[in-house]
Amino acid sequence: MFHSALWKLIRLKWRGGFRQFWRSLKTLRGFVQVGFILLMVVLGLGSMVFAGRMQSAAPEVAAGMIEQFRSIAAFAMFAFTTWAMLFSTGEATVFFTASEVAFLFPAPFQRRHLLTYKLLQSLFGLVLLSLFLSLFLARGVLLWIGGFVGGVLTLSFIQLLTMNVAFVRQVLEAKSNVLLRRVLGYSVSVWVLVAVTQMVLNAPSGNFVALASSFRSSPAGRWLLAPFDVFARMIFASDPVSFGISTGLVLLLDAILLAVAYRLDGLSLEAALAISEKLSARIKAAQTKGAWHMFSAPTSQVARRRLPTLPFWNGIGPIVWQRLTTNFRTSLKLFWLLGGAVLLASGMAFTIHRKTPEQPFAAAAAGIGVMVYVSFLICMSLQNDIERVGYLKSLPLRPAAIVLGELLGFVGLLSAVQGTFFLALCGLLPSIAGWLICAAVLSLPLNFLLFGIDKLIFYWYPTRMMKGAPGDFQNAGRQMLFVFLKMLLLGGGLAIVGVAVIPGAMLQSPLLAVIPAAIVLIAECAGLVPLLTYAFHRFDPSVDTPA
Amino acid sequence: MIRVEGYEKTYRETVAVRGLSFEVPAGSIVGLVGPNGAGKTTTLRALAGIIPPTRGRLTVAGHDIVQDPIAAKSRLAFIPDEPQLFDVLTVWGHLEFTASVYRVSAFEAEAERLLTQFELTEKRDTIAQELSRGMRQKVAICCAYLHQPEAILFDEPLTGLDPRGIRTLKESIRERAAAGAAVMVSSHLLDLIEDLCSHLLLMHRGQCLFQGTISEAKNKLAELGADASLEDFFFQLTERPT
Repeated sequence: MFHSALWKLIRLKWRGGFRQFWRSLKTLRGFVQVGFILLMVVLGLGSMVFAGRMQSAAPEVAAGMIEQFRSIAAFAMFAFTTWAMLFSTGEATVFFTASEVAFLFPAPFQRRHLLTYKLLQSLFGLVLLSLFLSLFLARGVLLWIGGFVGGVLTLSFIQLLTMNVAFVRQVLEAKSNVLLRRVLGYSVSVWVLVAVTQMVLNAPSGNFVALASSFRSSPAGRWLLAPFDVFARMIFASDPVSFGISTGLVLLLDAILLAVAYRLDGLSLEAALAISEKLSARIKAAQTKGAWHMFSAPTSQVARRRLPTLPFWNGIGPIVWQRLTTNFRTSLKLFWLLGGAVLLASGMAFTIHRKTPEQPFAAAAAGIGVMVYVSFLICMSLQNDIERVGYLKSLPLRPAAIVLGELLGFVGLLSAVQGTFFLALCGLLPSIAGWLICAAVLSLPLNFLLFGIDKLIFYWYPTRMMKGAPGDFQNAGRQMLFVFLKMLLLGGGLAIVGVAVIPGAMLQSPLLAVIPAAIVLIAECAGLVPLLTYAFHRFDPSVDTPA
Repeated sequence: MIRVEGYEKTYRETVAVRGLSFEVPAGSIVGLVGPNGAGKTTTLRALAGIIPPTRGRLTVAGHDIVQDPIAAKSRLAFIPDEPQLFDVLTVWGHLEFTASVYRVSAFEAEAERLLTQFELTEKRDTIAQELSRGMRQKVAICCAYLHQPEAILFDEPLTGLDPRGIRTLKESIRERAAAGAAVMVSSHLLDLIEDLCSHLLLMHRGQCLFQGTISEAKNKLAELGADASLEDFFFQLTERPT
């Protein structure tokens, strides 16, 4: 079943990972970054233990929480699986790195050896994740070990399912069976859409638990959640008999999926290779251009899309045009995500407003929350391209124009999307339209601030994303530090804005709130431009960036 | 040693290689040349068992790469155009792993010899991500040679190598061929092909335009003129109206 050389490879990789870990501890910077990530892990574990203690102090609250977990577990698993399938992360399971393709594919291994190697590699991650989950849920499960094993089996199920879907998709693509692929894809999408519609219409309120329960009780949702329900029953089993039965079912489901994976994998050697090459290209792009490019569409598919040329604007125009065109041609999923975010945010606001019409601010806040979250996610991974900075520096344009051009493309795009959302909200919540228009006006400088801070940190400390290796805690720590720093800077900027809004909010006057807020925000943005320009000016592309 | 019969590879509507047949006898070095997109890498990757052929039969030392892949691959080495190493493994780690894959017992002496031959001894314990492009290429070559393959496939082998590295590689290829290995070298460097190879296989748009010994190709050149080069021959065949 498994080749001894592959054991050796896993062992050598682990040894290499630990070697890298110790080496990273020898520099002060590495020590700080590793220390930061370890601190975060300790804090995470500590909070779980603390939560457990609190629950034991108030068992009735703990019971209520566990009941909530139980009711939403299947839905959460389903939502995660859908996300994984939509964004092709299932492919990652059968993804072979370029070095693995070069060394393992021409080597005398059976295909199933390689699949086993991949599954074993990912098993470690699943075990670790399940350990954390089981600690978190420790108080609510019958046996801690049951929760842990349940976690491993559940995550394995999700992984095998997304992997098999990725295989089927690749096999159909390889066989040019576009019709069958589309029929399957559209059927599942329509089914999910029906279930989501039933969920939104029947939910008693807009919170996650109510939505999850509504989805579970809808006819379409019940079918979709059926396999996930078995896993939820196993993890939260209340007696040994139901635990035993559900564990048996879970093992059967996993075994079936595993058998299908081996069968499909045997048929689709080329499919796995295609997946690996596609993902390799994406990872390479993500390492230099930002994590968002993991989801980029191949350029050849979209190269014909054109945007009208913009005026020169002291050099800002061409940069904005180039940026927008690149995103338009390569990040189709970005536009789908933005459109989806508008729909989701509007849907959330609509549902909450329908249930609680007397609280328009609650509805608006829920919708705006979704939009802000998506904006932040996009900002975190969209724009930074190390290779591009060298090219930009060679252009006969003023650094300030380049910096502004780089920012305005994204800011304009995101603000336009958010503007559409606010317009929709105004139609839905006319009683607070004034506040919503104010929020729409403020979103422009706010987005500038968000992207500007991200860009500033990148120019000061350029780094490539996605260069993870086993034991590379330094990289993980660095990424976390950056996120922390961005949040800190943004939080500081917004705190000043918050102070400026207080008088208007107290007087219930949107105008008195928005004008000082806008002045503060614009001043912050204006202050950011010289900082960005200076940072861009001193950026040295010849110095290799830490990866 | 290497035999390809009626090999065809299609990607949806695109035919990458059509009806290719050739043979690489033991001890010979075949130069695989052709313009970009001719199907050279596709052919080498199919021979290496990385991609399956759509049609045809590809055998290495008598073993079909599709029907009997383990036996075929055990006798084969493939060095891709871009050396892909495991970033966290040391140079020695790569050799250790390769020895384990091909079940080479007591590999240490041969591994040390290869490291010396390719001037990698000092880099023995260096991790791959700290190596230059050329050194990575040398590590890939050492790994490929370690199990004494009977058939060796090179895809653009000289890229990134320094002059000493190029000379060492060329010498090593000649040595391997002299020892009975069948070698295929895909390259755009026609000088290299002329200097190194005993046979030539010219591909264009997935088809074979010429196969034979270098001297047969040169005899054909005589029709082009006394001072015509392999380059003239290449352009004559690949750019003539179809």
